[in-house]
Amino acid sequence: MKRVNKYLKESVKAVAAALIVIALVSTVADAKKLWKKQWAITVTVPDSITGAHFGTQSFTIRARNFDEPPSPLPLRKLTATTEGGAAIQGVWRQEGKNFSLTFELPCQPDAVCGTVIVRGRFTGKKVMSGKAYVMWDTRDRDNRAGFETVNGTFEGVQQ
Amino acid sequence: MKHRPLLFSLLVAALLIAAGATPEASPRAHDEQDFDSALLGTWAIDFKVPVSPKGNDFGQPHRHQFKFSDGDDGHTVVAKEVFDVRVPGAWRAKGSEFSATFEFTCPAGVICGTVIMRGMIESDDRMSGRVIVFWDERDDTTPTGLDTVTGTFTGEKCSGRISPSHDTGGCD
Repeated sequence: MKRVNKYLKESVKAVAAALIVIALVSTVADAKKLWKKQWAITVTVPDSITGAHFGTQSFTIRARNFDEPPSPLPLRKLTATTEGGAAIQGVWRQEGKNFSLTFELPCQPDAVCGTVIVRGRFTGKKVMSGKAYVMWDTRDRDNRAGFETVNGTFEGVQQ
Repeated sequence: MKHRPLLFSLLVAALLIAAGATPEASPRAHDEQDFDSALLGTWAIDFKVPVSPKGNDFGQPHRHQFKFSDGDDGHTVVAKEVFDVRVPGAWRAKGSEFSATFEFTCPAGVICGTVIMRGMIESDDRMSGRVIVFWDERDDTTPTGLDTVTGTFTGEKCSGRISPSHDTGGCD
């Protein structure tokens, strides 16, 4: 009986230690991987010189590291959901704490449309921030990109 | 014998960690944008992009196979490069004009970049346009502050008289 009790005590201690290890590993892993859970980001971009308007918009970003069906290599796709519920497809990459993601904006009738690039960094366990760029469809000869670009900022939290 | 519970628990922990890293189901995406169905399918696209002012090189004039889809994943596009490397992207279209954006696949420590294509479908099997690369390197002379370079592309659709080539990354 003593031997069984001792065995049980050791088992409980070992399981508790294992759970602590899991909690620590998952906390660190979640904080450093864009594709873990989902992120609520708020992007603020000033109006362009020609009046293209972005303002402040919020997106829920759900990045995926794997594909269904599986592809030979991870394709790193993401879905950005707008406050209005529209789901937009995009892609992402990450190296260490730095990441980049890009997606096409949902177009509004009779309004100029654009592409968003978000370049950011994990600034805390569940916090990110950085710069956002919108390249509008409006041509701009003076811009090396050939199109109008506007610089903004973004911040995000893991949900 | 004394360490068996510990070993067992660590094994359980390892399995749970591994289970937490398994792929998650892809959410179904919906996009209400207009699009020209002529864009859908496989294209062989030739790029001409100069070396950037900071010396970042997109590569010599080359041809890649692009597959534009509108499925459960929404408006996605995959560029197939040499050695079967696949670069993911997303697209939108309105009438005969379209935009597509990609993130490069880069080895660690290498300056990476984001690509935007702005093009036009000229006929059922021809497209052309501009390609803009925003490299990760700083360049204070550009409006974005990113090293930027602009090139051109032309594409032909791999369907009907021409089919996708698995050897060249283009059409046969």
